[in-house]
This record gives sequence, C-alpha cells and structure tokens, in this order.
Amino acid sequence: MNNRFLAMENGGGFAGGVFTNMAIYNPTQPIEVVDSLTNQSKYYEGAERSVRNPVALANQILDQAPENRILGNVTGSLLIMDGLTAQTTMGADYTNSVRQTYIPRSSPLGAEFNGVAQQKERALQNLNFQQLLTATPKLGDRQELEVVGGYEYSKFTNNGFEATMQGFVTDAFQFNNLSGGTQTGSPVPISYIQESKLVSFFSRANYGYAGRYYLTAVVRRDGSSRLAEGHKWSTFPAVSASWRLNNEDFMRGSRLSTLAIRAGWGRQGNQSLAPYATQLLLKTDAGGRYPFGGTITNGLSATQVANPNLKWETSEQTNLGLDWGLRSDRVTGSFDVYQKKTKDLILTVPVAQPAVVGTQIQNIGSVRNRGLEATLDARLFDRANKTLTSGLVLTVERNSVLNLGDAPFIQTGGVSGQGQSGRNSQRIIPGQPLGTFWGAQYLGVDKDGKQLFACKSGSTGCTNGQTLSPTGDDEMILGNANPSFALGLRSNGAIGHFDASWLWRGEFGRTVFNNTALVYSTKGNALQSKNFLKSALSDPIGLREPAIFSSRWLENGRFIRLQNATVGYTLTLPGRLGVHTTRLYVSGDNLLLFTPYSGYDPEVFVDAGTASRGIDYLTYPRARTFTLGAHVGF
Amino acid sequence: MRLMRTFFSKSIGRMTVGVVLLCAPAPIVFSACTNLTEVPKDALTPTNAFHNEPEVLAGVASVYAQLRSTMDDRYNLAEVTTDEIIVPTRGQDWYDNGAWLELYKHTWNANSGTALGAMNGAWNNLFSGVARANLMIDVITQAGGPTAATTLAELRTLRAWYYYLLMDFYGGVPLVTSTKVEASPRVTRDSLFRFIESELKDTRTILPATRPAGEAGRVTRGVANAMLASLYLNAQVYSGTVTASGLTKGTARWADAIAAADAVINSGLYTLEPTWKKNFAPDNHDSKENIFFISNTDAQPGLGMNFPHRTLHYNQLNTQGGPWNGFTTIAETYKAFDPADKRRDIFLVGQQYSFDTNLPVKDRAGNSLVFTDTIGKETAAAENEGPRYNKFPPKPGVPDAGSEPNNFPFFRLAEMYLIKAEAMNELGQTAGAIDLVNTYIRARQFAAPKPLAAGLSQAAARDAIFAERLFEFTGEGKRRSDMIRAGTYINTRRFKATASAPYKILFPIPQTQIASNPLLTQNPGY
Repeated sequence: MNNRFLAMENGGGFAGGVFTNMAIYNPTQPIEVVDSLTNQSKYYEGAERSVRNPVALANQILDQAPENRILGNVTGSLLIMDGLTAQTTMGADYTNSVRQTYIPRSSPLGAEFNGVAQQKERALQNLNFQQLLTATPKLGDRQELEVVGGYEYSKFTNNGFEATMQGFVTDAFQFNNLSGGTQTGSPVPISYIQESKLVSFFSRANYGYAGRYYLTAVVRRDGSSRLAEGHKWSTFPAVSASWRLNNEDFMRGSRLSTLAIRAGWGRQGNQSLAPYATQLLLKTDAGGRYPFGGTITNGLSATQVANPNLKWETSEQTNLGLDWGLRSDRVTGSFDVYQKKTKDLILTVPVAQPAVVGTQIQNIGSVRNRGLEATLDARLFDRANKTLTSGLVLTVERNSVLNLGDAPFIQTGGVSGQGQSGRNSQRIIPGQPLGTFWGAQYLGVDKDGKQLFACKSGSTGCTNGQTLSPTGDDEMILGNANPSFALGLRSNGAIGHFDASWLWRGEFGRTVFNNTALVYSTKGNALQSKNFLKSALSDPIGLREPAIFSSRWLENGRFIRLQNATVGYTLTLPGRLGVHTTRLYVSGDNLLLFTPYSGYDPEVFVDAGTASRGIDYLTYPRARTFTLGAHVGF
Repeated sequence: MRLMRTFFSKSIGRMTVGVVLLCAPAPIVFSACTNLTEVPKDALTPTNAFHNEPEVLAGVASVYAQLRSTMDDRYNLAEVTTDEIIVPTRGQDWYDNGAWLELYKHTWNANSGTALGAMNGAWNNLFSGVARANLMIDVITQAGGPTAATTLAELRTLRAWYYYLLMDFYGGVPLVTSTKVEASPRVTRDSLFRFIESELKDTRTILPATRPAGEAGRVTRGVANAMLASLYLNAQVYSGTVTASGLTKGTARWADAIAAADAVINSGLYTLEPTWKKNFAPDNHDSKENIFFISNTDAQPGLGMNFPHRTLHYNQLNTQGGPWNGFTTIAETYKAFDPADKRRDIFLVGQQYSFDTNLPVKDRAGNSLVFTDTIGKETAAAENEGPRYNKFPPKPGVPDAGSEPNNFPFFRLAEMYLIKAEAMNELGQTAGAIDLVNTYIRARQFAAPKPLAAGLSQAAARDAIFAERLFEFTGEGKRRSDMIRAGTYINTRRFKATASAPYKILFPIPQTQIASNPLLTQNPGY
C-alpha cells in the first residue's frame, strides 16, 4: 500500500492546512505570479502569514507513506470425541509504514527552516492466540446445548522511530538524505515502544429447548497489563434469554407468525488507555532538558502521576426486546429498550498538588444511556417479477452524566480559531447529557456594533439584564448536541430485471455549534486580507469586534439525508464461458441532504476534547461517492 | 467417507496440539501466559532510575527545566495584572474569551472568569516544580554519595523558589516535602514565608559560591542570598495577613534585606554590565550581572523563550507563522520613561522594521506598520496600536517561536542595589539610598548624567525608587509584587476605571484545585 497524503489536510498549526486555506485564501489573489527577477512563474504568497496559498501547499509539500501489512492466521481443530471439539487459532498482524515528508525551501512554510525533511517509521504488531474447547452433548430431540470454554492471549506492540532535519542547502534530496540538513536547531530524533497484553478466560453456554426457550450465559475473566497491579483482572458475566411464543401450542393458528420476547443483562469492561498509564514514568523528552553552561543536559522528568489503583471501567447493560411478525412475516417489527450504566470511567482529571503534572488518570464518575429502538418492515409487493420491501427504524437515546466524583463539572469542547484560547463550548455536568453546550445567551448587537448578552443581575457589567462582556456567572446551558430521535427508511424492490434500493436517514432535535461561522462570518477577517463567509457582509457586529462564542453560533442541526441509492440490472448471459448471471449496478452515497444548518454538513465534527460532540470547524467534507459495478456469477 | 473425515481431522489435530501446547494448558502450567506485569522500555520508573551520576544529573536538570514554565502563566499573571503590560483585543485577535482584559482590569473572581485558566496553569506549573524537586530530594537522600549534600541544597533552593512564587500569588499553600500525591491543607502565608527563609538560610551555607563554566546556570550561594534579599524586601506583605478588606502588614525585615543584598554585592562575583541591554540580549549567557536566570538555548526547539513573539507584529520576524502581535504597554507607562533614559529604547514606537532584513514592514492590510504610543480602545484596538516592549530582542533566524536563546533573569546585581536602597530609605538612610540609585543604577543609563536630587524626602525617595524599579525591570516579571508592596496594585489606571477590591492582591485558589483537593480553603474576599 502506498498512501499519498494531501499535505496537512486539516492540521498545519497557525497557518492551517490545505482545506482551511482553500476556504480562507482570498480568491481575488492569484495562484501563480511571474517573478520579476527570474521571469519564471512561481506561487503567489501574500503578506498575510496566517493564510497560505492552498495550491502551493498541496503541490509543493511531499508527503507519502508506503505501508506493508502481513496478516496471518492458522487454525487447527481436533474432534476429541463425538460432541467435543478443540480448536486452536494463532494469528499475527504486522504493519510497517514509513511516512516521508518534505517541505521544500521554495515553499514559504519550508523557507523559514530552509527545508524540512522527515521520516517517521512505525511498526505495529498484534499477536493473538486462542484456544477453544466446544462441547455439544446430545440431550435428546427437544434440547440443544453448546458449551464453549476458552483462553485468549493477545500481545500488542507499537514502536517507531522519527527523524526530522531542517536547514538544507538544496531541495534536491527531498526526504532521501537527512544528513544534508543542519543538526543545530533541528528537532531531536525520537523513538518509542509500547507493549500491552490482554488475557482472557471465558466460557459460554447456549441452551435451547424445543425451539421455544433459549438461554445464553457467558462468564469472562479478563486481565489487562494496562491497569494497575492488583486491579488487572476482572470478571464479566452476562445472561440472556428469549422465548419464542409463536412455537408454543397455544399460539397455533394465530395471525402472529413471529412473536418472541428477549431479555438480557451483562457486564462489560473497558481498558482503553495508553500502556504504562498507571506508573510514574521518567522520560527524557524536551520537558526535562536544560542547558547548563550552554550545553544541553538530558533530563529525566516525570511525565505522569502514578495511579496504583486504576481499574477496569465497567458498564452494565440491561435490555428487553420484542419481535413480531404478521401474515407469514410479511409485516415484521421489533421493539427494544435498554439501559446501560457505566461506572469507574477512565478519565484524565485534575489531581491534588503538588504532583509532577496537573492531572492524573482516575476511575471517576458514572454515565447512563437509555434508549429504545423500534423497527417496522413490510413486504409491500411480493410477486414473481415485482417486489418492494420497506422498513422504518426509530431510535431514541437519552444520555446522562450521573456523577463526576468531586468535580462539579469538566470543561470540554475547546473552541477553535483566532482569539479563542481558553474558551470551551461544552461542559460535562452531572445530571446533564454529554454534549451539553455552555456559554452566554446572545441577545443582539447594540448601536456601536458590540454584541449584547444576557446576564444575571449583580454580575460585573450587568445593566438591565444585558452585558457587553459576560462573566462566568452569566453563562448557562445553551443546548445539547444529541438528537431527540433518529429515523431511518430503507427500501428495496425489483421489477423484472431491474432492482433498486435506497436508504434515508434523519436526526431531529439536535444542536450543532458552527465554529466555522463563529470565525469566518465576522467582519474582522476583512482586515486580514482573508476570504470569509458571505454572511459576514451583512453581519451587524462591528469591524474591530472579536468573535465571541455564544448561543448565536449554535444552530439547529436536524437533517434528512439520502444515504444511499442503488439501481441494478440483472441479465443472464448463456454462453460457453459458463457465465450465468451478471448484475450491473450504479450506486451513490450521500446523495441528498436537507437541513436548516448553514454549514456544509451537520454531521462532520472535530474532536475538541473529552467526550465533546456536535462541533463543526472546517472539517474535511464528507465525500459523495458514485460506484459503477458489475457482479459476475459463474 | 466418514472414516476419512475422522482421520483427517485427527491428524491435523495432533499436529496443532504440538504447537499449541506452548500456551494451551497455560493457565495451570505457564505463568508467562497470565503474566501482565508491564515494564516500559523507553522510559524509566523511580524504582529503576538514578543509579549513576549522569542519571541523577538528568533528574536535577528536570527540576531546572520546569523553570521554563514560569515564563508563561506565572509571567503573564505577574505582568498583565499591572500597568506594565496590557493585551488589548485586536479585532479577532487576542480576545481569548476575555481573559487578557479580565487580568488587566482585575475582574476575575473565584468560580468563574476566564483568567482562572492562567491562575490554574501557574498553580500546576509551580507545584510541578515542587513535585519534581521532592522526587529528586527523596532519591538523593536515599542514595547518598559524596555530592549528595550540595545537590540536596541545590534542589531545596529551587523548591524554595517554586514555593516563593506560589506564596507571592496565592498566599499560604499546601507545604509538602514528600513525594506523596494526596490532598493536604494550606499552611498560613507566614509559615510558608518562614519555611522558605529557613531553607534558604541553610542552603546558602552549603551551596558553592561559584560553579565551573560547564555548570553555569546552576544554583550558587549568591542565588540563595538574592532570593532572601527579595523575600525580606517583601516581608511586610508575605508575613502579613490578607483579609477581605486588604493587607495587614507583617514585620518589616529591612536590615535583613540589606544584609542579604550585601552578601551578594560584597561577594565580588557579579558586576554591572556596562551596557545594560547586554543582560537581555540573545547573547546574554555571559552576563556578569545576572545572578539567577532561566537558561535558554536555540540549539533545540522548545528550550528557549517566546517573549519577542508575544509583542512583535506578525510581519516583523520571519519565524514559523511570524510573531503574534499581542503584548503592549499603556501610554502612561511608556511616557513615564525619561526620553534621555537609555532604558526607554526597549519600546518600539513609530515605523517598524523587519528584524531579519531591517527593511520597513507593512501591516496585514498592506499599510506601513507604524506603532502608536497610545491605544484608542482596549476592546477594539487596531493592529498597530500601542508601544511594544522589546526588552528581550529576537535572534533572527531562530526557526521556532519557543526557541529564542535569551536567558531570562530572575535576579540581577542591579536589583540588589535597588533592594538595598529601598531598605535603607525605609530605615531613614535616605541620602545613602539615593546615592546608591544614582551611582549604580542611573549612572549607566544617561549620556548626560541625570541623578536623583540629593535632598529628597523619605516619601519622595520611596516613590523615586519604585519608579526606578519600573524603568529598570519592565518586562522582568517584578511589577506585580512591587505594586502590591507600594500599595498601588489595586488602583485605577488607564483602561481600569475602577479600583479593584483590596483582597485581589492575592489570586483566588482556582476552583479546579479545590475540586481535586477538598482540604483547600478559598482566599478571603472571594
């Protein structure tokens, strides 16, 4: 595999990446100009250093990553006796990649460093061993039983090496000759390795009686190297049962062709944190380095606070369900309700000082998710050469933070853009869902073009419930990024040789923070020879006023999307080649979007911190894909 | 057929069983299959580190390295809350949730407000220095060795300095000298003062007077004495009590301040640089005047300062992304400098030039970049408004914003003279005090001598010495404690129309810290 990256497609620091610059590069400026000295064409770069020529960025910067991956699995099974099978699986997954980057001297980004060459090598290894013992004792005609016991061992290794050199006399070497650069001022090379292990013992039993009663029970005991000594192991049981009423005698002759109820309960564990997170680590990174007498002394500095009590984050889920079908399952449906409580969340939180750093990874707080899902599917037409099946899915989920330990709230959802340092758009608050927007309520603009916000009487600068500079006391819950409900409509049908399918999807009652508008629909951009959103022209906020996060930038993010539509044609080609049927099809993804949201997509979000959601800031757009294909059967 | 299938699976089975036995009955036989101990290979842990001198030195270096963090939140809080530096909102730039103007106007409060971010940052950064020192003190105390005594004195001096800066901002804080991470209550400001005093009085008897060239930047006896001089200068504040209605002064320690300053002056190890600017320039590493400083370098990215970037205009320097056009000074402060005073040259006013090419530069709209000496509106300033303080000039060609090599001085010999002068004046020796200021401070700053008048009253001399400290130390992170000592910190000034509540001479304990340590009590008034 050889990945070619669009250089810095989203990142890129202060000056932004290619996509950001595509949006903000002043369209009245040229892409190329003729250099008056050399009479040769070159990329234009304006005086404004926070905007870069996106064409130059895309074309001048080399960025590629050849990748090799080897995947292997060996499985052997042994029938020990009738009804008892042993199976062993060994697997390995090796990935090696080298990301090679060169920012040439000729590019304004590279000119400051006289060229930047970088090679980053990364290797991932995942070794897996699994031993299963399966027993299927014969218990007569009416009963089925399968018991599986097993052991699984996984080892993950992630290691790498990176070297960056600056200060080249020529662009000729690209990234192929790092020694052509200058060591002084170049970043020091780094290498790293992380290893972790996951070990599980588990057993599972499935029991069925007369096609009517089913029971599944699972017990796992999982051990993770990433957790603290003495807390590495935990047990995770689960049971589920179902009753197929339609197979009961008393249901014989009923119009209900399917009727089943299901119930389940289970506990699960999560150990998703970096290896060694429970230990105090002494590292030799830049944060510990210090020059004595002009010579840099390598430092050993503690980079994280140990947590000798860190344990599994566990969640318990209970669900109840009902399946039904009418008229030989021509109309079917299901209804599910669930509740999931997660406790001992693995979170990075502030820790009592003095400590080597300000935060510690702790098991803190709990979160609850509750929801219901209902589906209704019907075969509307079901004839030999004309079929149409359609289904509706309704999803409702409510999420609530139950507890955050001693913390009254956790700030998250950092706001992006110029002059937005230290501003967060969301808070995780007990009693509220994740994705709760927090800030000042926008009221309008005064005669001087200054923004007015609602305030509490008595807070600094508050007159008649209005303020120009809201304090923390004036801030409040402004909305919630989670949808009230979601709907899906799926259909497929066929007429003769033609077939078609489509999927509509919609989410309603959700709020999106349009961070892009916050930054680019205020007039101030005009002072910086940047492009900006058309809405800035009619924006009432004054030319020299800052962009301030408030309810103004929260928008209704409901949408209906034609997620996929496919049309196919099946033809039969009798012939010597043995081809029986061929289906030609054309398929499109992300075809239509109906939304009141003013950004380009209410569903693409940036990662803006712990459990943040619903924030849109110049994110790379969701692709609209068309596929033309043929299925050939032999 | 059936026979064949059985045979097939059995033979495969036998083959795999052989391989599999390595781990298959592992739960019982091989503990390797359930061993989940993790041992990092690219990092050390305290149990397997510090077995030799270089490892110990690396641990000591990390305690010094944390000093770099004091150039961020700690520096900003010490400067932007005073009349030395303001960070006006410039259109879309530098609003930052109102934090900069909240600092300047003292409108922060305990539970809300965007300036809390910096207060929390400074708290964490300074305590991190304490924790790094405690870790190494613990390690070296256990390991012993011939150099243990001096190294421990060195680490205790650094720890005392981190506690000094904490005491200066927040009053009494938890006083922890072990490596335990746990909630601890605050001690009084006075007991923290006495802890720092006793530590420094002890370490100065152990620390070497000088270091070989290869150890330049490491703590010496002069450093401990300079810290003590500064501690005694502010003794009335630090050993006093703060209530909602303000400061009740503690005992003055003027004679002790003079003695500590004299210990530095009379050591003969430091001399005033003939050219004052030398102490702040990129090549200030051999300054004979700087006593205690943050050692910076441009040899690797991120081991230097970024002060030029905070104040210079975007187009004045050709480093990554250019500077940030933020920090500036109010006109009153700029104009307080005598035009004949060489120290006024730190301010950039008028047409601006590139530090790389010396050619005139333009602003982002394409007009000539001319810095004004006044700011029209602090909430909506144009990008050329306000004088910039170029006390720490950039070194052209340094590629990274955090890599300017200028050492940042905490204490210079000049301050020892000014501490001595201030203390003498308070003890009624006004004539001697004025003489010190004229001889050691003002003489090198004016081409045509312009000494303070000899016959000043004690009160006039006090004002003159505070003013002299402004001229001498602008941009060196001293203004907040000077203004608190002078009683002017909470006063009104340009763009700060109302006097702040008297308890604001202490910062609040950040809410985040109280949440993670319920034993912490809030400062009075908040």
